[in-house]
Amino acid sequence: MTTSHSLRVRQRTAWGAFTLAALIAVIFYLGPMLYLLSVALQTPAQFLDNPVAFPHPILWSNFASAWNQATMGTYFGNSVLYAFFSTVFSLLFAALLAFPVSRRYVRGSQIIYLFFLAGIFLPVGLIPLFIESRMLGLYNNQVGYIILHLQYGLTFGFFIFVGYFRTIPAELDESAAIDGCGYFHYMWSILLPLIKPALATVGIYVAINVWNDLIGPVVFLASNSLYPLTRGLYTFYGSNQSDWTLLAAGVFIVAAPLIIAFIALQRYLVAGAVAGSLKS
Amino acid sequence: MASLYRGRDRVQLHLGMLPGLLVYVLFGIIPSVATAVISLTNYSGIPGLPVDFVGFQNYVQAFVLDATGLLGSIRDTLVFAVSVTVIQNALALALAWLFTKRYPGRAIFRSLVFMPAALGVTVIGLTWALIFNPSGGPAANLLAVWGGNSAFFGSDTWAMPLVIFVQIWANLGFTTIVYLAGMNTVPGELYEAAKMDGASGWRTFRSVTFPMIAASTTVNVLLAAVGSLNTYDLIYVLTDGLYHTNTLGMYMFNTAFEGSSNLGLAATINMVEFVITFVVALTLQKFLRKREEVLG
Repeated sequence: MTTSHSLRVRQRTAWGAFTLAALIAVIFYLGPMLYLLSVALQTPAQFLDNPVAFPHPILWSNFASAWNQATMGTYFGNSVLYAFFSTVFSLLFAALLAFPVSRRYVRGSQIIYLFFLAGIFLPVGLIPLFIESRMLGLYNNQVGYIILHLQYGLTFGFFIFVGYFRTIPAELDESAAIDGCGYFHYMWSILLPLIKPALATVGIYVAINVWNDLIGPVVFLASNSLYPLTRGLYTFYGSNQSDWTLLAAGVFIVAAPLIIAFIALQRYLVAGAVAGSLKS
Repeated sequence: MASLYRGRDRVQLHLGMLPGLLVYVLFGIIPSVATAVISLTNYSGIPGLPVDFVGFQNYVQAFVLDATGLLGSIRDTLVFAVSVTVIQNALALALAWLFTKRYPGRAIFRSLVFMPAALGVTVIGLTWALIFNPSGGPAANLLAVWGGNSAFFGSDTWAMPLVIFVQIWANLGFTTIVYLAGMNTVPGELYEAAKMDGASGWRTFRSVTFPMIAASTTVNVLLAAVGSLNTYDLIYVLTDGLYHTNTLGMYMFNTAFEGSSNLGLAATINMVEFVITFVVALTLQKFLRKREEVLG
């Protein structure tokens, strides 16, 4: 596509761009994370004296103290539960809805699609959702919290899957039906494995969103033992506002798995961001 | 085609669609539309109290009796949303442009800027609260060099600019990635031609790249505008709406779930937020699509 001349020109290292990008990325993005880690390793005495200096002596016990005092084990378990089940069920429901619509196997497929499309422009009704959660008995319990978080993955998944199912030839449906493969079985053992890349992209995006939700647990949960990590950490912050070394350790405990997940799953997140932006 | 699934399979096909439709209607459509209904009642967050239709009483409360609060909140919302939309898009464009160049570590820098997408508002908010800790920390130390000091997130002057900064910091990576995806679809031949004509880097960006990514600009500006008009979770962590950061979303949330817990009034504030978002989104959409057509 490009001539050898231009290839040489374009491959010349752009040191100016390098310097600028490096400054922004390192100072503004890596810096805060390193500072957080540094404070998490300091003694309260050092933090009061000079928090910007390298931790000396290094106090590893902040992590254990924060974990125990904030009862993060419980919160962590809740976060895993909420993110996992709301993601799995919302993706499953989305696929079961997207397939017939994508193939127009049911009457009103077009209407369902438009119905979902219209939903993009509808605002989130947090207050009616709160009232509904009480009426339907979904308030302040784990199953309810998961059900209240199905909506996001359902809509996002629906649009992505409708598009993805179109790339699978309809002849496959016919041959499966001729072989006597039931619909649910066909969906589970053939279709879902075929749309794995879409499942991964949407799933990771949804799971991280549910995991990081802070407003949800503030509105829909009241018992401390049901809190996910976000609200648990926020509550811990509320009761330890001056104890920054302990707090920083707490924030870092919550941030570390997210950073690791980000590094491992970054390409799905990028794909999800681009797909999500094209949706609108 | 519809005859492919018969009998039990046809039942399964329909049965499978039910949960999705139910969730969408129950937790998507109904709450969205019901906000208008709730705004006409005296619904309270305290269970057991009687609920009555009160007509436009909440609207009178919001627009007349609490006019100062509402106007202040609308002003905060607009300051926040305009600043975030403009600055975030300008920075992301520049950054995406930087990321199209060739140099070592490019992928790592891009990842670092995108990382907040996974961190969530609690971690992001508390990390910046630590950095802007008024009683000692990098920001306080830096300010002390010039002999200054500030309460930062607890300051009437600085809370809003800092909240805007953190909001942009959190979403800059996302916007950059979308611009970058757009820039990568610009055909190399166009850059060849620009180079042949002896166009400078800035000229090439202005005349080739920027017009060619008009679709990405539309998406990014719309997402940033609608997003910043409605978001409040980060503000909730950083200032809880105090110090002139009381955006409509924050105002709605605190009216509904803090203190007196007045859901009817909160729904009314939410309606104001919806209308503003709707008008802004429609206007922007019209303008940006027209711009795309002219450039395309």
